Parts: sequence; structure tokens; C-alpha cells
Amino acid sequence: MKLSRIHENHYYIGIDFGYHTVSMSALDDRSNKPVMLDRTGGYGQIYVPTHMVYLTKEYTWLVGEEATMMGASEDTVFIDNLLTGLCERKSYDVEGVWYESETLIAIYINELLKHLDNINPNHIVKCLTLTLPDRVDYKIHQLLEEILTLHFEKTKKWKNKFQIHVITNSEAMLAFLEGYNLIVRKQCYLMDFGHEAFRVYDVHLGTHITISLIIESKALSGYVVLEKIKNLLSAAYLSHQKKHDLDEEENRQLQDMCKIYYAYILKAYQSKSDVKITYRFPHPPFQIKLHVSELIKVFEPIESAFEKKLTKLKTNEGEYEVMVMGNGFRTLWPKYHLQEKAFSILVEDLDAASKGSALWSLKPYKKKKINHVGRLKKDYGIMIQEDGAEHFFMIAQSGSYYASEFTPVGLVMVRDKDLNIKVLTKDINNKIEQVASLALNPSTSEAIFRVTLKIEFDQDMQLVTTVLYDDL
Amino acid sequence: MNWEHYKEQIKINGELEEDWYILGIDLGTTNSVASYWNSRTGKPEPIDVSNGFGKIPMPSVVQYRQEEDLEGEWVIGEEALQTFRIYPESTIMSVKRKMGSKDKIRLNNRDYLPEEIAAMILKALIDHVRGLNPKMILAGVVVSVPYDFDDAAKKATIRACQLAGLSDGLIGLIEEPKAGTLAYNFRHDLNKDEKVMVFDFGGGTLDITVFCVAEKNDEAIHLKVISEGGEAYHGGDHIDELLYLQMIKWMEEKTGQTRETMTVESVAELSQRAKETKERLSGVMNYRVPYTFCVPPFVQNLSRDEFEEIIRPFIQKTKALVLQTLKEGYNGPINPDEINRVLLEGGSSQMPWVKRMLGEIFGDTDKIYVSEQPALDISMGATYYAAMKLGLLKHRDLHTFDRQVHFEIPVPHDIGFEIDYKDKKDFYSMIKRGTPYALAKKTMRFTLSGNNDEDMTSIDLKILERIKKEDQLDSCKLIGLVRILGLPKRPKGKTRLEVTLSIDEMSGTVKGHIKDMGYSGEYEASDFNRKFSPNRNEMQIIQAN
Repeated sequence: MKLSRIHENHYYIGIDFGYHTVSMSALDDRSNKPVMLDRTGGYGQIYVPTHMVYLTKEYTWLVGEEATMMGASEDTVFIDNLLTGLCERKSYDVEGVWYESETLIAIYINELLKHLDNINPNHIVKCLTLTLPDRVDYKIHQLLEEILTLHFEKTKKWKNKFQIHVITNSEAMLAFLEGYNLIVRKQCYLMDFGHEAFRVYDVHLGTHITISLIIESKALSGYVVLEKIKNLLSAAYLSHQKKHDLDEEENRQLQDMCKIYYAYILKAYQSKSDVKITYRFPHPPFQIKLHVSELIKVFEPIESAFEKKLTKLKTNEGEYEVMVMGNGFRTLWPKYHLQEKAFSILVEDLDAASKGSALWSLKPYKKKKINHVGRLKKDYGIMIQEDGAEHFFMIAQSGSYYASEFTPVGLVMVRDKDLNIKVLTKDINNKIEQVASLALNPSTSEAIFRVTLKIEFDQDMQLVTTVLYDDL
Repeated sequence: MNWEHYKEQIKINGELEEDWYILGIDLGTTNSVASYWNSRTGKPEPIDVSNGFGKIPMPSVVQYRQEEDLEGEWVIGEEALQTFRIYPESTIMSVKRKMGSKDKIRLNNRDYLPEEIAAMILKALIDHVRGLNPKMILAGVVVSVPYDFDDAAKKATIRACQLAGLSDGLIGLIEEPKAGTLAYNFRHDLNKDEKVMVFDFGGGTLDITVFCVAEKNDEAIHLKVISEGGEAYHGGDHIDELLYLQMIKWMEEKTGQTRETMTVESVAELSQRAKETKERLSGVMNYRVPYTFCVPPFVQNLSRDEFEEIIRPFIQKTKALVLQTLKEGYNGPINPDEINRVLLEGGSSQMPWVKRMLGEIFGDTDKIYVSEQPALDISMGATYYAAMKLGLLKHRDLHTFDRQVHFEIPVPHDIGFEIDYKDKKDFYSMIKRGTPYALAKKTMRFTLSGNNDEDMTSIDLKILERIKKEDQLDSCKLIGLVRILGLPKRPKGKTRLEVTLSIDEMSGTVKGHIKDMGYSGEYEASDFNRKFSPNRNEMQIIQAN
């Protein structure tokens, strides 16, 4: 039986908008299956950095690699961390004009879609679905949907109006599973080894789909790996140059080198071999060798932490299968540990979120079908004094999963006044209630002291607090 | 076992065994890519040499390192490219441009031929595939070559494959734009009578192919090449050279330093900067070129307009090559209006002037399509071709979605002899450009004449290739010299020889056959009947007695 084909000029687009990279897919007009779109045409990577740069003399925006390359040039305004900016509702001054994060994201996506002008000058966008990490608030989804619609209404692409959806990564994964007829099991784990964290979701499939986060570890993130690689490269550079500190330019060049050597270093660790590193930016350029023992020292703790996390999970003997996503799974050792622990991998398509969102563009789900369980209904935080005024400081955002790893906060306390921390909740109507009171007992006799407050939730979703006394 | 054995097995089993690999290799000037036939999806997939962390293509760069007191080391691909500035004298780039020549490349205290260096690139690609699956068995491989590669360059490519250990698996060569055409056909729905120009603009070459959909029904699609053009030595590298020369001038003006006083490392750095500047100016209107190695260091501003002015002669030549391809269609001139779409392939086609220049010729930029994956299409097209040759695409149960594909590939250049007409020598065309490969076989009878015994018992065959229609004899490229000695001694004008030239369909190389015919009953034919394979670099001597 032949499938009803999509018209060659009709594009159903899916965009996976991450914290650090973006990838884009479209449905293939022959098979109705999603294919990744590569702006570099195969010369680079399909993952476009979330960098944008405004060229002040040319009045032009550049995005992705081009923006990264031009970032340090004169007459430019460089912007990165777009998604973090959106979550924190940041605005940016670009040559005296203030841009909201959502507007910049709309400009970014418009620039990304210009690739379609090249590959098919007669293209018509029929639907665009953007997927965001699960922890991004639903209100942000709605805002972005509105702003994208408003933005595209002003472009020539809007000549043929199209739908815009903003969904979560897990929703995109489910669209992927359905698109490939993979919903055969009752339950599975969705493992996302991304730049920001390693997360495991428990997914129950049926008439109603439920998703809940059960593990989150920021120590096991692509970001941490990248930082460790940068430290390795910087240390070797400083040692060769007989220097103690990096200047701004050296820092930037080493940052760029991390992207080039990320693969080499991880591949060398995988094969337990030495790796040669070439520093091309100094004059004269030079090469050093990183010994495998140094790599093992850095990456083995990450590997064993990953292995430890897996021991907490049921294997497929309990009829659990695993869907893996995120760049962390490009290295072989995470998959090796999954196999060792007898997990069966149901989906191993690292671009499943992007592809799933393209499938969503063709056949949007009814949102109610997916039920996210185990999410906070209120913001959790404390009251702090800042600039002479007292206000609520959020530590855990409403909508986050209970199993999320919330960033600890450092607080400076005045000995005579602050011997108690009140943990509070704030609901949608800004009603604040106290949920815990923590008595402090500093050992120092100083007038001020510092503590780190960490909040988390146990398996019964009960608040657990930890207070650590720091040295000043 | 050679590839025909695997073809037979595939026919019997109706499927491809898990460890059998069908490969298509794009042996490029700047980058090389291998793709394999994924029998699960029924499509070619490029093999990512970076394992997903970097770029899929492997730079076609070979380096030999000899550090003090250490053993020498061959480095191929990305690392060799990254360290070019550290080892400029022992790093070989763009070896493809030398294929078919006798140029010696000195490395590791010995001379290498270009095909030996190319073999190292091929071997590195195959080693990578083997790294992914150590049980890999090569069932068949097709390697791409530019449309404008002459016979000697094609033979050198085959030799490189042999040196890389691919002899048994080598199905043959495919011309790059044809591979691009195949890849495009399998991704897009082309209509009957649609005419497509593939503009493949790489690091070393420009290949232009116009093909049409001659027939299309539910069962099959018949693609036919109706014109070809371009030039084997006209690519992005040449733009880098033009820019490099201009950058030397700026350096001389600003610092007084001359090319002669530059160190090898500084030359390498400046040539890399020229390439980088060209790439940057595809995205931005202005770029500041840093001269970090100069004393004092300085920065030179260059706008895209100024850049295009520097390379204006190159742009004009590119335009002329497109117009010439349209003018010299195999069935007569092709009007730009007749072309339904122009497909851009190759990294150099990303420069903004390319699209603008083609828009001027075709009067409509809506016809200009950029391939989704120009870096990978050639190798994927070569893989489709390999799969077709192994019979995979002929089984409708194996490849249900697509029609059978018939692809009529013609000979790209005139092939013939040098004929001595006493008063002048001229090129005599035996196989005309545009002749389909399947029909590319022509026979001619010569009558020997001469003034002495030597003239009557020997003959020199000078086999030539005429690249452009208007080329005179001295511009024709030598395919090979064949000297026949010891023919039967007969009177003047009483020896007839039958010479046949043909083109091997799978490699595109010239083969020949010569036979003594005697003389119309007066002199019986001897049993001299030999095949020959002309080689530009070495005269073939055949003893008839």
C-alpha cells in the first residue's frame, strides 16, 4: 500500500530548541518520515549553537556557527544562552533597542528557516513545532507560541499561514514513538543525557500517557564534561606556555578548541589511548600529548556515577525498555553500561526530539492525552533582603518535577538576626505560605556567617532540606 | 571473492547479509566521504568519521611526521589538517589534482606517486568502516571521479583503489555529477521531460551535468545525460590561490616583508587564512583578516564586493563554462528556459556569487536549489550506483518504494587517434562525446604504408582524448601510446589492421583491440590478435610475432 505523499514543496518542520544547541528536521515527502536538516550541508554538524550576533554596521543578524565565529569581532553584539534568558525573562540591549528573549528566539528561528529558501526556493511551511526541555514552564510555551506567530505574521513566509506549536521534549518523544509505531510496551524509561543534566523519566503508555521524572543529575551533564575538557586543555596550554593565567583571547580560543577536541578526547578515553592536541591559535602553533591516565582520572568518576544511577532502576525483566536521547549517548560507555545491566534499548535515535516534533507538526496530539505526574504545584523559596527590600526568592519553580535537582543557594546571614530560615511556597495567586522552619546554629563567633541551602523532595514528594555552613 | 560473487549471492538469498558492506566513496580534493548501503532503510547512509562529534567528511589530507628520536608516523584526515601549520612541508593536500600525472611527492625519504597518497586516504576511510564493524566484508564499492578526469587520472584512481586493497570489491568508477544526479533522483519526485542541471562546484573541480527524465511510469524512470561541461581544475582551491596572492601584496605594502622572506610556517598560515577568509565572506559582508605572523602584526579589512572583484576573472570563466555546457548539448544547444531546476552541489557553491551568477543566466533564482547535503551526496549517489550494480534496486520486494532506475551515461569526451595525413597530423575521432557507454565501441581498419621494412612491420598508435570540441591536436590529452612490432613482412600497402577502441562501462577507461586482417585474399591474415590497455605514462609495446 502506498502512503499518501506530502507535496514536495510542503514542509512540516520540527525544531528541538535546547539550552546550547538547536536542531531542525522536516518530514520527507516520499516516506512521511522526518529527516534532519543540515544548514552546513554535511560539512559541519546538524546541531546549531544557540548563539546569535548582530552586525551593527550591516544591520544583520547571524545565528549558529557564523555567530560563534563572529562573536569576538568588532562592531557586533553577541548573545548566547537564549533559552536561559527566556526562562529568566531577560531583555537585551542591541544598539539601543531592547529585545525580549522571546523576540530574539523568533529572529533566530526565522534565520534558521532561511535554509529552506536554499534547498527549495518554492517551499511552503505548513506547520512548525518547537520542542523545549521539559522543565521549561508551560506559561513560557504559550508566550513563545504567541510571539512566534506575531513575528512570522510580518514575514513573507506567512503568505501561506501556518500553525505553530510549542511542546515539551517528552511530548516530542511520544510523537516519535507513535510515528514509528513503537508504542507496544506498557512502560519504559526515557533517558535524556543532555547538556544540562542526565535525566530519567518513567513513562507509562496507554490511553492516557503519564510521565514522571525519577532521576536528575547535573553532575552528569554535557556541560560538566565540556568544562572538564576545557580544564584539561587550559592546564596543558598554561604548562606549555609557562604561564599561570589565561587572557581573554586565550580563554575564547580555548573555548573554541573544546568544541573541536570534544570528540577526539572522548574517543580517546573510550579507546583508552593517548590523544594529541594541537594549539593552532598561538604563534608559533604547537602540539602536546594528553596521556590516557589523565583522561581516566577525569572521566572515570563520571562513568561510575552514571553506572550507580542505573542500579536504582528496574531492568527490562520488569518489562522496562529504554529510549535514549541527548548527545551524551554518542559516546559508547553509557550504552555499554545499559547493556551490561540488561536494559533493552527501544529507541536509539539521538535526534528523536527534533524528529518527533516534525511528526507533531503533521499530526498534533491532544495535549490532555499526556499527563505529567509528580510536578510541583507551587514555587518553593525563601524571603531575602535585597536593596533594602524583602522579596520572595524562588529555589524550585512550579511545574518542575519533584525529582529535579534544584540549584543550592548561598546565603549570607547576620548572626544576631538570622538564626532561622523559613522555607515558603508561593501559589499562582502569589499567596505565600510557610512549609518549614530551619533553626541555624553557626559555630562561628563572627558577626556574619554563610550557609548553603539545598532543597529536594523524597520519593513521597516530601520536602527535604539541607543546610551547610560555609567558610567565609 | 570479487563483487560479482556477492551479486550472485544477493540474487540467490534475496537480501544483503548483515556484515556485507556496499560502499560508495567520494574521493574528493578537499574532503572524502564513504557511505554504505543500509539494507534496513533501503538507503545509503554516510559514515561519520567523527562518530557524531564532529564533521562527517574526512579531510583529504595526508601527513608524515618524523619527530626526533621517534618512529615516523602517518596521519590522515582531520588531525593532519589541524596540524598542517606545524608540519607544512610533510603535509599533502589536494592530491586529487595531481592524479594521472607522474609528479613525485617526497615524504619519508622516498618518492610517492599521487595514486599512492590517494590510496592512503581510501585505506583510512575503509579502516574507519572496519572500526565500526570488525566483521565487515566488502561486497562492492564504487568510487567517484570528476566528469573532466582524463583517462590517465581515472586509471590512477583505479590503481589507488588496488593499492588500498579494494581490487576485488571495486565495481567501478562513477562520474561525480552523475552520482549527485542519482542521489537527487532518489530524494525527489522528478517529472517526465524535466531537465535538471547539476552544478557541482568542489574544492578542485567544477562539473556541470544536464540530465532529463526521458521516461517515467509506475515501474521505472529513465534518466539521460544530455550535456556535460566544466573543468577538472577549476574549484575553490583556485579562488584561495587568487586571494592568497592578493594577501601577499597587502603584506608587502603594509610591512615591506616579501614572499621570499616568509617562513614555511607563515606561508602555511597565510594560505589557511585565505581559505578561512573566503568561507567567512560567504556569511558576512566584511571580514578583517589578521596577519598575526607579521612584524608588526596588522589587520586587513576585506569586503565581499572587494573579494568578488579580486576573483572576477574566475567568476567570468565559471559563467562561460555554464554557457558552454548549455551550448554543447549532446542533442544540440539547450536554452536556459528549458532547464527546470539547477541543483547546487559542492562546498564552493555556497559562495553567494554562484547563486547570483546562475540567477542571471537562468533569469529566475526560484530555479536554483541547493542540495540538502552537498558534502555527502556524491558518496551517497555512488552507493546507490553500487547497490544498483549488485542488483539490490532491481528487486521490487527489496526496494518497494522507488521505481527501477535506468541511467544512461554517455562518454564525456571524444576519443580517437592521431592520424598522419603526410601534410599534417590531425585528431581522428572514433568515439564521439555523448555516445552512451553501452554503445561506446568503434572499429577502424588501417592500411600500412611506408618506405622501408620497419614501416611495414610496425605501427605506433597514439590514442588521444579531446576534452573540448574546439581543441586542436596539440591540446588533446594523451591516453596512451601503443607500439606494435614484428608484423608480417608484406609489400607496401598490403597489410590491413583492424583496431577497435571501446570504453569500459564501469571504469570509464579506454581499452583497445588490434588484429591483423591480411590483404583481401592476396595475403592471409596472421594469428596476431591482441587486446591492449593504453597508459599515458608508459608506452605499451606489443610483439606481433
